[in-house]
Amino acid sequence: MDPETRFRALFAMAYAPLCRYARHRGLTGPDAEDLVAQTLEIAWRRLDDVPEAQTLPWLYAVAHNLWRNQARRDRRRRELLARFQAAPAAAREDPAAGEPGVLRAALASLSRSDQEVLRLVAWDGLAPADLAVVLGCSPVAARSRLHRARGRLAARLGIDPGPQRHAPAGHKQGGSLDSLEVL
Amino acid sequence: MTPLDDDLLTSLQAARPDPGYQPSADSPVATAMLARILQTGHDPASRGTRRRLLPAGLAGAITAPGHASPRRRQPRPATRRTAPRRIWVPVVAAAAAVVAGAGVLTLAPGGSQLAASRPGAQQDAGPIAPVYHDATLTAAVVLDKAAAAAARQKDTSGKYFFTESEWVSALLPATVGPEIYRMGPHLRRMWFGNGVDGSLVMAAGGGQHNIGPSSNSGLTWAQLRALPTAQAPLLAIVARLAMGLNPKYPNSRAFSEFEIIGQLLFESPISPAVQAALYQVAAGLAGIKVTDTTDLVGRPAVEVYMEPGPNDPPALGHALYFSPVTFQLLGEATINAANVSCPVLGSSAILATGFVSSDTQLPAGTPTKLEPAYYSNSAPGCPTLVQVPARIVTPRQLGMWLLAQRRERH
Repeated sequence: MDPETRFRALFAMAYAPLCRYARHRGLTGPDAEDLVAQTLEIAWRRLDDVPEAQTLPWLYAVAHNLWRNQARRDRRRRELLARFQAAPAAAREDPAAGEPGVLRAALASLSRSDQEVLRLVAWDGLAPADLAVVLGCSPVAARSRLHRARGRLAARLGIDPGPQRHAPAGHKQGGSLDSLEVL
Repeated sequence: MTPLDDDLLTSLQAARPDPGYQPSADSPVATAMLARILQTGHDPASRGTRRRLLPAGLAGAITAPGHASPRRRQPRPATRRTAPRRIWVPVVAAAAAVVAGAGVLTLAPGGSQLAASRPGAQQDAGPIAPVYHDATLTAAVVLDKAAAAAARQKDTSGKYFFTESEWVSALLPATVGPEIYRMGPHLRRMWFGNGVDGSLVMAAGGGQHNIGPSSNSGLTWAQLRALPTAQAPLLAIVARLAMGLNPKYPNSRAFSEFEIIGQLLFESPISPAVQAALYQVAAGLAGIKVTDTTDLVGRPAVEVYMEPGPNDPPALGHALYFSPVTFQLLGEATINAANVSCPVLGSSAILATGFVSSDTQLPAGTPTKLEPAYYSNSAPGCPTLVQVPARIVTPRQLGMWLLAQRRERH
């Protein structure tokens, strides 16, 4: 299969999931389009490196790094603006009141790493084996990180974490989300 | 057990944002994206690190001539009406830097409550007579007159603040070559909303492109409307914002403050009283100068500008343009501080402003058809200017086009 044919198939498969990935991270409009386009452009440039078996997790990993870099820049800008105290910006209200809002608020209170693990599984539909590709760690470590994040989410919600609170003993924390080189 | 056998994760799944969102790879947006990506070429040999691809950061990518020592600036020829200018377009600048490592020239836009009427681009009006020769008309006096003009305006408000402007912008993508790349002239309309809404429409490439909301200063509507009218607290706010503008130059004070003032003025729903106060604060800054010029669409203008000093970021200066008659703000420019006899690097010309009630409404008198004005792109003895095709409008398009230029070059 020539590269362009393969990439067209990849694009058709990955475009919608990547759009949803961006939406799940609060990106809309040109910001979301930029993230999707940059991710797919990297895939096109590095097509030989894209694993055929786990294409989508590989793309998520690329998108995550791009998104994280953008978020870091945005954060610096917010920190600058936070020094402007004349009139604090109106607090953003979660448009989804009720239980979804509570869950999202609890999710947002976790560390960025925990948030990403839970979003990848609950919102982006990744299985633990695929999660490991995105996180750059072993499947066992990925499952451990998921369980720990899930336990912390339950704690934020004040509910019984249940049996899944206990991560498999002896497993080290997986690799950092930052560990995957994008380019 | 799969993760979503878990009740908590299942509930979290149900709480995902916008569950009905169904993007399609067959949509026009996706089809255009695919075409743009395929145009860049499949080049495994070009793989490398981002550091290799983008050898310098945003600031480091600027390869404009070095810092020029402060000196008296000669008035530019009055026929320089066609000189290249630029406006600061935040989304273009940011994305271009991200995607292509382009060093993006910064801005000093300005805004005012001009009548919502299009002056029209003068195609070739011939030499324009100097607008003043009065030695008493110093930069501070011009800004005082601008403050007085602003203070005479009536304070109004609305749901959206509309601005139509013509702009050109300059980029110095170090990864491509030594040339300065020029975007525009384009027309843009911006509806800055009281809240998170609003839209920015660029007219280029034969169509209009909605490229999302924008705010030059980064402040919210409420923050802009709450700016104090007393000079001391306003200067304190300007100074705080300026501190973060050029972090590599912590001692850059007045120069950065002048740039911040331009950002606060441009496409901004601030009250006339705050406008007046900002002009008065600017009048007190050390290093402001004045000359006469014409703006991007050929209007005679008094230019108040500031060149970088030893403690400021080199290469670029900032200017505000005022009507020599009414002293209302006409626009802004980024000047080439290394060679002030060269055309300015970018500029904007404000064509219409006003409060409206929706993000599609135009103030009365605003023409509905957008047509860029005429302008020239080069000047003898000055940096080569490479025109970015008119079809390049969005940050993504710009970044990919610059990458393609780099590949062709190398």
